[in-house]
Amino acid sequence: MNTLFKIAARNVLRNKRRTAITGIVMMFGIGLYIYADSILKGMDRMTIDNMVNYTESFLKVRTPEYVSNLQGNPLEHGIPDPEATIRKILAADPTMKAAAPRTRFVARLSNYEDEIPVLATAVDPVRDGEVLRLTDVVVQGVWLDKAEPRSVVIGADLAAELGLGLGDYVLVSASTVYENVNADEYRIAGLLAAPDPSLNKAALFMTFPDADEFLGLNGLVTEIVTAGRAYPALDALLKGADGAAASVSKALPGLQADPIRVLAQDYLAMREMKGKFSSAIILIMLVIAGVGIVNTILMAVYARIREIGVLRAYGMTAKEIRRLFTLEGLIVGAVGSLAGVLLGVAIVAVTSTYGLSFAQIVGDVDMGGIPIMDRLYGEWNFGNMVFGFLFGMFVSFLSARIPAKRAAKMQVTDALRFV
Amino acid sequence: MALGAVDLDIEKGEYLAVVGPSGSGKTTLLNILGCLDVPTSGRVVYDGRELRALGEKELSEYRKLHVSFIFQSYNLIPVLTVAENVELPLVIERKRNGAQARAKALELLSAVGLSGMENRYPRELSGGQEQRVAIARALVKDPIVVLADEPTANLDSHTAEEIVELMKRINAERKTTFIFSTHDRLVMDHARRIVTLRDGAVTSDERR
Repeated sequence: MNTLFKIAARNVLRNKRRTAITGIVMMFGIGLYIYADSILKGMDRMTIDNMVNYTESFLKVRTPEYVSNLQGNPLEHGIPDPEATIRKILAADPTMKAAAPRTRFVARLSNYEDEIPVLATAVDPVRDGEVLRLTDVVVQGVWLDKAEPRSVVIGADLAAELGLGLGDYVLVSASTVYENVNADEYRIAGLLAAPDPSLNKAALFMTFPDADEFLGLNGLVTEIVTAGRAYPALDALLKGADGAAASVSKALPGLQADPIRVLAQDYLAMREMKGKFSSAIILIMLVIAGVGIVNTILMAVYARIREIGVLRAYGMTAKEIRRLFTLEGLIVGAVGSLAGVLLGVAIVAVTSTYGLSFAQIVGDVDMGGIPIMDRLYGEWNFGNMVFGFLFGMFVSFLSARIPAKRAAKMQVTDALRFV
Repeated sequence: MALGAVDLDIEKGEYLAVVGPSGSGKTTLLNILGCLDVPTSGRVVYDGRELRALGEKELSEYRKLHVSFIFQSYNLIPVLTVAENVELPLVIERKRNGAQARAKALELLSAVGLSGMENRYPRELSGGQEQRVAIARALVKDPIVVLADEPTANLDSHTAEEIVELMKRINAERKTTFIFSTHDRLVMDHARRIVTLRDGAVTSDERR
């Protein structure tokens, strides 16, 4: 083994407490970085999965006019010949597995005393079940495919808010395609408790025949939701949806196919902000670790001034002295970074296997509509673990250079005289 | 000014003691001879080369190849074993491979009477043994000159005598030039030349 490395490594071991403190700070910095990244990635995965499975779907086809007037949920910009469009969507890209028509409109739901605005959707219950998983989250009653005509399925929180239960009648009012307001009575056939709070608090579903009668839709479909093939990783899912949307758009001139990346853009933008914030916190931790390394190596320099004098007296150059102390910093950094990666791996192993209860993390705080209510599972990101290690080494290198330069600049006679 | 009127010619193989009261400039003279310090004026010529004209890198090279030091407080590297301490100048010199350096270190340890102690650490040695290791370290690269600053100052008289005998033997066998700074009567008694300094000037230069 190279003697310089031997001197550096043994000096690191000689100052166990100092090395341990610096290493522990680095370990927590990098471990937390890996953990935070894993949780954020897990949150992304869960959020996007929830959007794909319960609200937005893999990609959505609408008219450009409808999209540009989205806030109003207009009923005048329907998709012409939706059945032919569905056939073209399924033929356009091999990743497309199913498609279903939907018509969204704003309504008000009343228990005859109070009323709450809701986002209502007319669906084909069977085909909708092939694309989205709402049937899986009907916690009371049945989905619309097994319900009597003139039934609705609503969010469980919404029902609780209005004091409604299964079998109760509700009054639904909304603007029709003729721009007059209609109101009608429906029976609650099912209650939903999806992982997306927006569904639970404000969603109402009815069948197309009921919506036709209620709003005069006459076959109007505002959007077509789709199911793609399964993707194991989030990035692959986003890329797969992007590719499929490009193929579908090409096959459907005059219509707009938006992949999940576009449908979830508000969330992804917010997520990016959060990512930057957590990166800043981790950076601060690593800077603290860097200061620790500066301190550790400075202490090592002062404790070994005479030793530096001897090495210089025996012909070691200033550059070699600098290298020696930089090496010591790198050893501390490597130990701390490796420990940090191992800590991160351990935490991710636990969180990716057992998950974290989201309610335990955030309590009752409203997450501003983020569709996560379930257990949150960490995601593995090996690239980021390598990055965490390399970044720790980089911080160590920079931190060790300052005291190492000081050691190299020392006059030999001053060093030898030092007591 | 630590040194003033100093005019000395030192031949290869000399065994020379620089003596004088504290503050007379003994250590400064040794530092200048070892190129650890640069004189503000005057000339230091080694083997026909003017040392003042050398740059930092060339001075390191001179120290690496020609001069060795023995210090009053031994200055061994505590994290290295005895053998590794002795090898250190060869590691810095980079002329021998690991096996060659180890063989040379063991040869020197045998010469200073420390065979079998190569794997010990400095903290496990007595003061006399540490100074023997320092002598082995100083000699391992076959230097032309060994500069020893008060080498016996921290040793008891019996150990000091052993060390002085050892250095004298090496001087005789290897023709290595030894230049000591010392207050120790024992060292002076064995020296073949004594240069006395007072207030930075040579007041006597006695050959025996």
